[in-house]
Amino acid sequence: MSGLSATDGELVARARKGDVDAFRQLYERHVGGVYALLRSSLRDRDLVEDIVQTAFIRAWDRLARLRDGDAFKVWIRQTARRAMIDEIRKRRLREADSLDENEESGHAPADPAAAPPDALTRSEMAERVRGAVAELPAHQREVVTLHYLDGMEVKSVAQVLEVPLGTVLSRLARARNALKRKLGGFMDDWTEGGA
Amino acid sequence: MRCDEARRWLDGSADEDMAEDVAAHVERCADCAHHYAEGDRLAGLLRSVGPAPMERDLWDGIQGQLRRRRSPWAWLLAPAAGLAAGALLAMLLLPPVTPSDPGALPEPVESAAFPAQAGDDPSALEEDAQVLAWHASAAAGGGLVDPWSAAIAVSALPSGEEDPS
Repeated sequence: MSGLSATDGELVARARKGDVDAFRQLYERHVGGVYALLRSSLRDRDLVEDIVQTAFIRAWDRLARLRDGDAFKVWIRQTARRAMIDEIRKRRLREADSLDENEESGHAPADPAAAPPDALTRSEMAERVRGAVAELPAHQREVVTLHYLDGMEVKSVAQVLEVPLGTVLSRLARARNALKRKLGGFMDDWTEGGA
Repeated sequence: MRCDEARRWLDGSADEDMAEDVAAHVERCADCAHHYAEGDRLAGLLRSVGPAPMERDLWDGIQGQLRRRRSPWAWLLAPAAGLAAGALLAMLLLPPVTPSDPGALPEPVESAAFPAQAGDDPSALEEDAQVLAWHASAAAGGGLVDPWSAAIAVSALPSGEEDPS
């Protein structure tokens, strides 16, 4: 079987035997989601990158503990989130409540409907949507990032965050309502435009 | 719970007290699950946007640390390998002088425990100097510190020159 079509479980099995290339494929598959999850909570990009590296190294060291290799997607995000919490405790940093509009976050300023969608490039529109997400409270950003942006099932989101499913659904419902208010008609135009 | 209650919750009421009931309903009701998962344009918008891309690849840094580990089990083997290497190194570097080699020890060791005083026999002073020199050499030789030699060397120093540490 080619490496590209291998399942996470197969790659985990190879990585457990010391196959770094298999682990690299796991990294390439999941690093974007891990990074997005951490960025939804932390504004310091360098710190996020450090924790991403710590998480993958920790995962390599602990692969033997992962009973179901196909659960790697949830496990690596959970590992990263725990590493983030450890790091925050260690550095006595407080989890950011919001990505301030004045921060160097790279997110667009908050005014998603300021310009009509047809006047914006796709990347500009994406930045506006991400900017609206960035304005949500931290616990809502996490669930939106995992569920909508990273495409995880709500059950898996609950596993990553180690909270009940109902809590995830509640946070998602509140976040969706807030985003609908923020994005308004912009949302309709986007989807009708075939984005 | 009825579907309309569940949808009202999903669409905005979001009372956390009802969350478990809604979750249970969504799990067994395919229509509401569909409404929840795919039923609004916001979900499509967010999914089409996706997460913000990373600005740099972190693999090189990760791989550098993995190389040091080599396999998930390396941490088990590393201490044993370290001990073996240390033992080999010690065998190669240690000077051939050992406490069981009496011929290499200067005879009047005991005298070194007593600092030379003004007015002592000059030959005794010279002997003390030789003993102190040997202990200093033994303490420094091979990078290993013999506490006994070091203690003797320190005790032999005049009180004004004692190491403040």
